[in-house]
Amino acid sequence: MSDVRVESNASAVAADMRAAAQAILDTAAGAVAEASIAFNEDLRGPSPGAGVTPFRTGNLQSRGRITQTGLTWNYKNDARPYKPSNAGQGDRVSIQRGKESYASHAHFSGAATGQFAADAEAAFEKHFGSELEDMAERAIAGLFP
Amino acid sequence: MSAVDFSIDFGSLLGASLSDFGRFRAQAADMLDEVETRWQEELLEVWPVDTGTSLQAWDNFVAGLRWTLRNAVEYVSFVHVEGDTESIAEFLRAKAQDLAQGILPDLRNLLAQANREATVPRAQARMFGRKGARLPSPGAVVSQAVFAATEAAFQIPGRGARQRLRIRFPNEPIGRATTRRRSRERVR
Repeated sequence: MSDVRVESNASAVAADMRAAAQAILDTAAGAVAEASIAFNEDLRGPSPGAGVTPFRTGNLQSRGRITQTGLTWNYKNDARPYKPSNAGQGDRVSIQRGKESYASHAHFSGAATGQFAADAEAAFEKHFGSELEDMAERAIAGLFP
Repeated sequence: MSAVDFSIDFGSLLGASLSDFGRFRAQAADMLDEVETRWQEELLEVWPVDTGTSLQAWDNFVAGLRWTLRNAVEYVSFVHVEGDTESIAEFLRAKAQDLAQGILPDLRNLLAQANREATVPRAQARMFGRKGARLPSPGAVVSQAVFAATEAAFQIPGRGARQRLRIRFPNEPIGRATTRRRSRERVR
């Protein structure tokens, strides 16, 4: 005769669950990272102004970012005009930032007003729509064959 | 060479969250918006542009009291003005710290005023605030995971930012013939 002992394996199960969750998170994050890199390459092109983003000061190019709300991804560009306010009055030119973004109006010379927004939307739809879905499907299939 | 992340968490520095500012919340948010804007101006002044990849990759935004400043491009820590060996990312890190130190006293004053007006004693509120158990939000976890994955994507041998451009645009010149030169002496 001896004692009765029952052990729970809950900590091992929890560790497995954490590892699985981390693997899924890493896979999803990798897919989103690839999509965002490819999307940014479309915006920028091989050199400034060679993609869909007009380039003069770099402001429009550098103010775009992919934001995340829950598991929804958005592209946001809040470029506002920079206006030198005391040019010629010293070494440092103070720049006042305009209140309204011009991103929705931006376009290449000779193109229609808002062309940048339309092109950016199309590129975003491409990389964060069907291509991201395909990438996620392939990654999940690799995790759970 | 590596990615950089020198984000500044004012919540940790102040021991508070944005909601602790009460009716001064909008003022605090405006201060953070101001430093974000000023840093962006510095960035545009000093960052040399060749392909535009590293410029575009900067994350500069404020969420709550956290000011995110990071760049996942693999060579960003190496970027420097021609003829000057100092890393511009390090210059911008110091600039961000200066800007943050500049508004901290004002933020502390606002927070002190908000605390005086608070109907719930701060010691009691703290139980559910920063000192209490607070898990990182799922959004923050995913955001950090995506940044790490982006950084890793550039680190794979043969998959750096410039190599990616060469693969995607095989028949086009990568970058401009001359790098835009900008002197940092002007802004110091």
